[in-house]
Amino acid sequence: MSAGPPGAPPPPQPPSDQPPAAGARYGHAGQPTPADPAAQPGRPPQPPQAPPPGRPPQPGGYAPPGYPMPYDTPQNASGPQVSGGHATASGHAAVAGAFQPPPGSAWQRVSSRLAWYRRVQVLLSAAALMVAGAFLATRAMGLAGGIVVLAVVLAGAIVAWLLAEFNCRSWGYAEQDGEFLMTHGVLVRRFLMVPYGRMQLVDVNSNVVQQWFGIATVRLYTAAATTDARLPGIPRDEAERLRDRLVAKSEARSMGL
Amino acid sequence: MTERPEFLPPHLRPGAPPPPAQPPPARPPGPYGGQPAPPPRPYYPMPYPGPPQPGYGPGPYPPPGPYGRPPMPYPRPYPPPPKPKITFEGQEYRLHWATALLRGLGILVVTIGVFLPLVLTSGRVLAIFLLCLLPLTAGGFTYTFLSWWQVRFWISGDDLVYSSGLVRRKTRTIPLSRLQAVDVVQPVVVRVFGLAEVRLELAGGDQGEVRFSLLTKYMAEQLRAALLAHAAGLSGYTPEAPEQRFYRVPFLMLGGGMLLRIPVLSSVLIFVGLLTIGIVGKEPGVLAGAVPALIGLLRGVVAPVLTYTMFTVSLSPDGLRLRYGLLGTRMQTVPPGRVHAVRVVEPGLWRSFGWARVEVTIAGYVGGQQMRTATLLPVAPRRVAFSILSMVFPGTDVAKVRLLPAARGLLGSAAAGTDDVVFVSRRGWVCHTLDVVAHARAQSMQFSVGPWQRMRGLATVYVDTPPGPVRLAAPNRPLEEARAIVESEAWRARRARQVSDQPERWAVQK
Repeated sequence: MSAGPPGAPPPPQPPSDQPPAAGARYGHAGQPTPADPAAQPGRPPQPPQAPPPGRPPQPGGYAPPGYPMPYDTPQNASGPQVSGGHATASGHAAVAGAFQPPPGSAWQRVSSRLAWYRRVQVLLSAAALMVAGAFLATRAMGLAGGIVVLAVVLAGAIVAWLLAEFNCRSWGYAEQDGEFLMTHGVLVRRFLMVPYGRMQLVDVNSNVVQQWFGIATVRLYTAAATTDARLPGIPRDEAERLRDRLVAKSEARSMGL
Repeated sequence: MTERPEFLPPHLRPGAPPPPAQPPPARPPGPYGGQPAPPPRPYYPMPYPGPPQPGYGPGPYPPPGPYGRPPMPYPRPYPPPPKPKITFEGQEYRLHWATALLRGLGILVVTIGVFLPLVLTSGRVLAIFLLCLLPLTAGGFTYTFLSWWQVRFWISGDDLVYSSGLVRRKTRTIPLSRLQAVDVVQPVVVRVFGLAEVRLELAGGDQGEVRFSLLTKYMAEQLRAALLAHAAGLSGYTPEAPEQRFYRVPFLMLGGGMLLRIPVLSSVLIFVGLLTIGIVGKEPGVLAGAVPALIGLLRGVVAPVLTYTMFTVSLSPDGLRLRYGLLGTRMQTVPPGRVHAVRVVEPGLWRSFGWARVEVTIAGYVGGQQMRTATLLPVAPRRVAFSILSMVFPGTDVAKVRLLPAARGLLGSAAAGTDDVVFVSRRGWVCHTLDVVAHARAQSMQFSVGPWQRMRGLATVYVDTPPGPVRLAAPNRPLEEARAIVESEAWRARRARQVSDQPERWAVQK
């Protein structure tokens, strides 16, 4: 193929079904990576575009020209034209790729005792619901109503029991240089970054049942109420160590508001 | 023409030695960017010529016109003597005594209002009530006067000390470096007496507001100047910062803007329709629907028009100054770098006129008062709205930030983009909303994928800010791009915090 001028965006690779490794996808600016056309199956591969003469190649979206890009974005690799407005790859692989841990690290998982804590919660609340609901429904609609309520609550409890395992596995956190990263969620998945310089408060909570399981909830507070950074199910000694580390880092980088 | 060097001044003649380099005149450093404070002007001519006399002063005069000389001018009185500057340092100050009087009157009015319907049954009960009211009034006024006497405040060092409490003394020390905004508020009742109220907004906690109610207007302005000077890191003797008017909302635009909103117009339609039905059908029962519609109309149009009349935005070294209000007035000062996020709203009907509204998130303004005080411009042309954005976020032009369109959603398309200073997200189908968050103020960043979005391979990116009208969300970004946006936003926020040129004390060079 024809060699473009230096600095031209790399030509697209033939589509492949395998998602690239994390480092290749979210590598730093020093490591130029090819675009991932597998992520854009709805679009034909674009011919390599030469930048207009006299102008350096512009990164495609989230940075002005000449600005150091922290991460290679799909826009960055696809040249000067704007590539927004398209849904890219869907399905399990794309979601897993977007929720990968940063290169060179792995998600710290929470204790598996969290799942059993959830199941105890499910049992207790289901028992309470069953007793109250069956009593009320029997008085209002007779025996059939009571049985229907019992069945519905039982089905919900079974689903919640099964989901507890997935929920427990979905929590993950990572301590990076500048930010605290966490992810969780089964149906709605979230990925959250909290800069250490913005943390105002770290607290460790443990109710009676959690104490029985030996786990605790670590919660980070920033000035924003929408930063819902809550990590349940950390072993208690690890929770206290994590809190101390976070407090030390946030004190070192505190910047006011 | 020939050159005649002898007519030139000596230093310009050919062969003249070059003049010695003059050092620039030494300017004493003033508090605001090297401008010296003007010397105090005497309020009477020096030397004192005696009291002003009626009659003509010394000439020269223009010749008398066809109708004779102009009438004798009344001697202009000398300007009033300047009031002494109050620094609030080293001496305790009290609120105005009318505080106690007004609070006592308020208690009295509430008591009478609560009990009067109950005691209007007979003259005997009324007489007993009036007899009981006398000691109650005396006790109430004694209490308000004693508690007013106990309230004292002063500035010590960089802290404002506010001490109050009748039985148990409570002293609150407020570090002025945490000051977020200062408001001078004059509700109608208070304004009639020439008084004012000062409200401080502080960062953090639910005790975020301190009120000085009431002070004389002059003392309130002096207190505001002293607080802002201390918060900026200057001495208490600093004069009030000069200000320059930036924009005043024309009255017609304000009234039209408040009227041209879909809820308002629909309630006008309901009101007119109900009245028509009532008049045609001779049915007085429609008043039950028409009167609430009219009240809603008054609340939706007349109240904001009265609140925001003469809305003026000025610029000063102390930050943005907002003044507004017809009956009760309000003067807000937002120091530089205190604005976390801004939202520019363009409702559908306003778009054809090119009007927009600007709302702002400031850390101090939380609670019920927030929506009323979080307005930076109630209605203004788009270009004014965007130029005020570049005052709030120096170093960027929000209108020029390139926005990348997102995948199409159910209601219109969204777009998001970023530059060195801010992250911008645009949303909305009929009503366009543009959210702007400064990188240096972003508290955390996240993205989330719901079940429906997962099928389409999309995610919603959030940049979190303190509670306020702005909630920045960039919906429908492709998954990989969402991750890249979040990571690059974290990186930009870290970089912006490192090079942040907005110190806590904005007048002190780092």
